[in-house]
Amino acid sequence: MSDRDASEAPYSVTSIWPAVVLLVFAIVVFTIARGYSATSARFPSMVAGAMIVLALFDIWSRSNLPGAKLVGTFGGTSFRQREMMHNPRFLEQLECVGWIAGAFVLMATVGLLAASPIFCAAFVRLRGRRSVIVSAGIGLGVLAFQFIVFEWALDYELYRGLAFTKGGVSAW
Amino acid sequence: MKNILATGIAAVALVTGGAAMAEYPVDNNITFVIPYSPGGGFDTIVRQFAPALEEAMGTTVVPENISGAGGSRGGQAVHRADADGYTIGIYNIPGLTVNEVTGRDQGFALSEVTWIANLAVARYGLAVAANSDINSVEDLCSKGSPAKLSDTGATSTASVTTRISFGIMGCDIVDVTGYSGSNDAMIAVISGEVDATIKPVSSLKKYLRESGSGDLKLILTLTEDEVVPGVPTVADIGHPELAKFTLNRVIGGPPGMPADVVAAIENGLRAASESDAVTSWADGAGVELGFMGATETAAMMDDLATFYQEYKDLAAAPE
Amino acid sequence: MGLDTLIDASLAILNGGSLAYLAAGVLLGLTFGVIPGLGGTTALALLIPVTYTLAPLDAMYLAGGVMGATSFGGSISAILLNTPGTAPNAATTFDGYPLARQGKAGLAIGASATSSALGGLIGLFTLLLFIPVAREVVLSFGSSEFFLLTILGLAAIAVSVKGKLLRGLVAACLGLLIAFTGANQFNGHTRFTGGIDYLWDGIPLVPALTGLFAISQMIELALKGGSVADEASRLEAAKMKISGVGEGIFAVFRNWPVLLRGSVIGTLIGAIPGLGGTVAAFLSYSSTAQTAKDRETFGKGNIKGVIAPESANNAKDGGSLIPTVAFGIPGSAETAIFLGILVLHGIEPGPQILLQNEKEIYGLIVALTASAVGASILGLIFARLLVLITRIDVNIVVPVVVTLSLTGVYVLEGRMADVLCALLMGILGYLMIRFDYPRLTLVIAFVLGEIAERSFHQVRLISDGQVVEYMLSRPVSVLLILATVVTFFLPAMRKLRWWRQTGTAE
Repeated sequence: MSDRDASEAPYSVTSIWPAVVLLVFAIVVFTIARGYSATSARFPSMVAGAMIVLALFDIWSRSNLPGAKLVGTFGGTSFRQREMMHNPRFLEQLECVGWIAGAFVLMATVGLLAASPIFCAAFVRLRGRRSVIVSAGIGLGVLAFQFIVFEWALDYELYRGLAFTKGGVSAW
Repeated sequence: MKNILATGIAAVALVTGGAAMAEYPVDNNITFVIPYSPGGGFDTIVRQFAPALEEAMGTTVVPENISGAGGSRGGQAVHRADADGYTIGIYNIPGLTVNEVTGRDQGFALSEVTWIANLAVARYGLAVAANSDINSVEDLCSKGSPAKLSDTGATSTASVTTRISFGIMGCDIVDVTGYSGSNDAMIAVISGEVDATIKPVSSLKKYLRESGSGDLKLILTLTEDEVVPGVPTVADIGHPELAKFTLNRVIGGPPGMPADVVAAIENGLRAASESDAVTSWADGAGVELGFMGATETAAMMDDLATFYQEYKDLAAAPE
Repeated sequence: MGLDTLIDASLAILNGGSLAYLAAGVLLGLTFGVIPGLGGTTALALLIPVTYTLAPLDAMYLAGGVMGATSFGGSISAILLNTPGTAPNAATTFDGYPLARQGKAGLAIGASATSSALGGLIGLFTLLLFIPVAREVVLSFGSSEFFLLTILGLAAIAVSVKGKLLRGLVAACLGLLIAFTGANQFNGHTRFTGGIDYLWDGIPLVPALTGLFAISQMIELALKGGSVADEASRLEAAKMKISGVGEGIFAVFRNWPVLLRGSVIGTLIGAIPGLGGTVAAFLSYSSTAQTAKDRETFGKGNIKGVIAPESANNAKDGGSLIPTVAFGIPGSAETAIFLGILVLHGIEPGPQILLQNEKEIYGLIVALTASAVGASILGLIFARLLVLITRIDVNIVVPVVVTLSLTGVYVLEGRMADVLCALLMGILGYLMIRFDYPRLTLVIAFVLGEIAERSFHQVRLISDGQVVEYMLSRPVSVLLILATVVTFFLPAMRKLRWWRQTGTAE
């Protein structure tokens, strides 16, 4: 890895760890695949095997070992055209994923029709720091869309949530 | 508004019906569970029957698609429901029977399902390409190398039928599985990729010279009586037991449904299957209606379970 | 024969009632197209109960309206939010989104609308040309060709990820492994399910793609803050009085070879059942990007990078009807549902569908084309308004897109487990964005994985184990092998020459 790239991309991205995680994953999958019958095992073990080799090259190109630069040149390991150029802190990322997971939990418990406006209004109000009126307006807009398109026009009953349906999680 | 209408019709039914059905099916919609996505064969037949069933039963019938896990998710949903007659489902038979025999956990036991009726039945036929030199099963089995047949999944009913029936006939074959639909499997025969295929006669008909495009040639039907003129049956070649292989669309409900409720739904389905709307649709869409009542259906289910148990090893998917 | 019916069908559509169904289909298709997670398949599946009460022809107009409009709708969100509205729009994000960030969203939408409409028209004419030989086309595509086509698709992704080849290949492996989950088609054995019932059918496509594209992108956007378009470009665009929509339209005509190639690739790939628009759009993009003189600018906002996938995207609908007119079999998930609607109306699709149900088929073809054109015109009219999305605070865009797309995932099969799957895939997608592993290679590999495996298995059985000999004996297979070799080695040769000349990496 050239120094210039490293100075641009954050260390967590260019370090060897993402590649190491993928290597471990590939090894686990390879081991499981070997346990299947010959026909079933052929493709998964072939692909997992290839992934192990590729992940090793990935680790090599991220290291300071001799030849790392050559691997980078031919393997194409540049970090210059990253999709995500900003570098949020770890807790920020966790919080954001938490919001999305929260949306799912809300949908699962009180149903899609109730959860959608609540989540939207809360997100706009708490994260976007918009006024209550704007937040409520967006929540109501989403509710209106969901209701008009699905419940009314297409006569489709959206999930009502664990709190209001029988069968619990097994009905998912 | 539909509900008011339904209540009105139900009130009429109340007067004509016996005392035992006084409560059913008045106060609720009937949910008709389809264990597959919209647009398939099971979905279509339920949606065709639903309006006629509504008329016969005097209540609203709501088809609901609960797809997933090869049809077992929908079956589980019916199994969990109250046995009050307001939830019924359609079952893929003998697909589920075969799964059970080969030891796959489906989350419910077929022996516990309350069987109500059988709506349609499809019989199988063996076809080769129209321009092929093969004209009989004998030709197919004595062509030097094992004949190749095409199928969708190895656990599909057609593939299980293929493996067991050629096993019984003592004929060595290669079942090439993995085609994405039964049409694709038939096209593989037309293009010459494989030698033959076993598919429902109603599907094959579209490709036969007498009734369709003329790409395929039927050389055997898995029936006891002749269904296509001039084509030999399994009885003719000395294996009448192969006529047991059919594809059924069976209706059932949660375990322990009251007998009067079962009878009410059975009668409703019978009336629906005789209605003009359903019969004319079946004619156009090439669906073979074959109505059976609750007792007959339950007996058939037992019979099938014993039959497939006997050929368990052939039914199991290959390595 | 065909032309008369076509004209009749076109005239019939002008009849008031039919036009209303078509218009309703277009509006629904556009809406479902724009919203990630909701697509043409979902719209048609939801419409099945509705079409039951309609006359068969009206049902065709409704279905055609939906099918024709979704792919353009999907390009809008691909361009404005880097989130393909439907999976086939994924390739449009490569250059469409950079354009939007530079404040040139109007240009991109103008080009997308025009190439969608023209692609749809070219696809239709290609279909009409192909109708007489449709049977031969379908029959010449056996298991061997299916397998080789998936390999070509995989080779095309491998070379198209600029400067990230190694990580792209790792992501492709991951995508293949995801595709192998569940009960396999050929021997019914289950793999990697961990005893979870849900995984029996494998990881479902729509929830997975919605998670990988939409949810992950929303996490990234929320973390970035602000709005989609850069501050600087917003000022600049304001000076330029937005738009560039007109310029976008002209760009398509200026780049007509790109349009034509995209449309032909779209029609041909669309004709192959199971491969679908994602692969068609992607192959069109990669072949354009690899052969263009200005290939360095691809991925940074080259308008040709919008024209190529979008023309393929609409042409594929015409192509997906080739197997339908030949044998009554579906060429795509949408046509499968469309055939389901026919069955519901007591029409049995089969090899003689074109003879027996000419009216319905031509009705659908006309509706499809009218819809592609109509949706694009609507798009052009509202383009200025749509572009404003890139200036809205992401904290408003994110929750709305998240809830609508998760709802979309739910309604396709009515399974909450799908929503959970989309969420988990969204987190995986975000990690891939964060650590710079390209998501599209994973997705293409995921789409192709199952077909690759089972068609290989079939070829092995059909050829009695002599796989290579069998393939070499089939002309179409040989063509595909050559195409794969060229695709794979052209960039490698180029790179080697560059390296020799300069002694440095690109």
